[in-house]
Amino acid sequence: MNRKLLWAILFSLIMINKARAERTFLFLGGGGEPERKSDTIFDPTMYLLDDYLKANKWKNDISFNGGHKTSEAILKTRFNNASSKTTFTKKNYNTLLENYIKDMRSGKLKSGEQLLVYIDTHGAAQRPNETTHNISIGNGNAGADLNNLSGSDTISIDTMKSFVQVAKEKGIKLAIVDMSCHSGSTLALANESNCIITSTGPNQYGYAGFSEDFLKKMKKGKSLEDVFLETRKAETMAAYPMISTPAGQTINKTMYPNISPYLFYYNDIKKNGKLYDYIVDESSKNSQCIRDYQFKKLESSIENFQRIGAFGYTVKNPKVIKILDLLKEYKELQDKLIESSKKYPLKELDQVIKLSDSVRIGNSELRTNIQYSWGNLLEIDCNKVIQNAEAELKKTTDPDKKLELVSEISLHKKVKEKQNEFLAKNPSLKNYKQKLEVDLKDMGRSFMLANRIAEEERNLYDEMYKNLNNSKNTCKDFVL
Amino acid sequence: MNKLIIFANLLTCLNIHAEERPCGEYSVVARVEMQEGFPVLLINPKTKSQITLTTIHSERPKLSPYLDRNLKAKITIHEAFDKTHGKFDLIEDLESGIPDPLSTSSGTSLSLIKSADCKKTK
Repeated sequence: MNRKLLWAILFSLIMINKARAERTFLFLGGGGEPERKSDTIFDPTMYLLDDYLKANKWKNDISFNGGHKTSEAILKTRFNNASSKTTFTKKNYNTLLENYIKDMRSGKLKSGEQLLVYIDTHGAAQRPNETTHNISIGNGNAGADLNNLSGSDTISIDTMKSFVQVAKEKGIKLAIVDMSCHSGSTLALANESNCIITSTGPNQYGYAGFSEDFLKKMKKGKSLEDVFLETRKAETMAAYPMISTPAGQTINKTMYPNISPYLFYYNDIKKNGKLYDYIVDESSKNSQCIRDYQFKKLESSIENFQRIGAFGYTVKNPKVIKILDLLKEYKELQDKLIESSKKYPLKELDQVIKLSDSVRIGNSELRTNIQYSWGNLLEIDCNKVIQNAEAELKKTTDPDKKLELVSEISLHKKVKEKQNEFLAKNPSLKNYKQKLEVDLKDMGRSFMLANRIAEEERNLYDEMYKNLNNSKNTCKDFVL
Repeated sequence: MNKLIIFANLLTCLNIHAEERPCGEYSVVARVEMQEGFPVLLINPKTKSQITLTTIHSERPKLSPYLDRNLKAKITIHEAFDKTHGKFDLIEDLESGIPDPLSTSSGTSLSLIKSADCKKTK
């Protein structure tokens, strides 16, 4: 009897191990990080991924950055069971995809097997004529502009279309987890047989913590849907993680387009971040009615949930009340900022003006060439510079310093003339600096508001998702 | 003997203050203020660890729009400098920095991106 039981256990273990071997993990990431750095912001993910792969014995291919000492060491010393370890270049990316397509077509990857593609790199906002979005590949400086990744080489996830199509045709259980900024656009690759998970929405930044937490929560026996919901609930930033399940898509469609602007905030990424660009755009469009309409739609989507969520009758859900109050508060602030911005031709302020100046004392001459945007030029407090330089000029006996001070005074007198000319043509921009400073102080509140809205949205999302009919889906079927 | 130890300590302390920072590219968040007729960058302003960074004629006008505000930029320093004073000769990627009222350094910072050889002057 005991012997039979032992055989049964042994047989089960063999079957389990066999089942485990039929899973493949493809990691792509770490692109767009500056060459001068020894590490990347994606390194912590790599440690967690290595631990996960070691413990769970997936067949794996790792394609990760290169060119950063610490990151290269991670790749070299870890992932000992990887089928391939390459740097994340366009060439390697294309080769990997081609090889996977070949393996799926040849039957090396069989129908019913799991294939998890995990992307952790910088991501751009969707470009015109693009279905998904671009991601950083190789070295570069994605941080120079996190919206379009102009500082780094990129590749579009559109290049995965045929890979996704072949996986569908061959019955491969495919999951794509895109942890980059603006990754919501990757949901366009979703079909009835794959599972797509993203760390944020198409017009939102994503944050490194989501990927790290996601990997920590990936445990044997859990489905990708479980891991997504748990990680989403625990997110701490104003992102909007997405999933391709029917419930996820329903919420994305009803909530995301209208809540997206209320997750923007003012920060120092690319001058002022997404909120500043949004305010400037809205103020030039004269679109208050559209904003009001979109807000009403958002309110009613949330209120509708209140009605269906409480056993068919209306019960005031405290979560609904809280998020609506916060949204109203933030909308009022944004309306005020848009209204204030209308006073300034902000787009014109980006135009550049070149100034040249020359001063001479005796035989010594000093030239100055400088270019300012009108916005910067108007912000210069010329009187303060001139007064300070004049006071110093009275004290100094050093001829070189004298010449430089005279130049400082002369240049700022010229700047003052230009300011007066510009303000005569655009009187609404008088005291522009002071007014904008007041507005920027108000913008500072946006970070707190966006994050509180995101927190309430996560709680509500979790309830909404669980309330929607969600019996069978490809992300639930993708069991780790 | 005690006097000798105190003297040695004093020398060590002086040495710490005279310690040089490497030349190269730095990422800086600093307050821009007028000093002796010219705009300068201040790191840790109004603290005992204040660092004052002056610049050359061609770079000064770039600082004017940020007067009395925090500025975030990349600077290049070619002359060895100590813990309190330095001079940069290139400033790029300028943008407004947000002051952090909770930070003792007013949100300012100076971090080395890439070290380079200092200019050797006679």
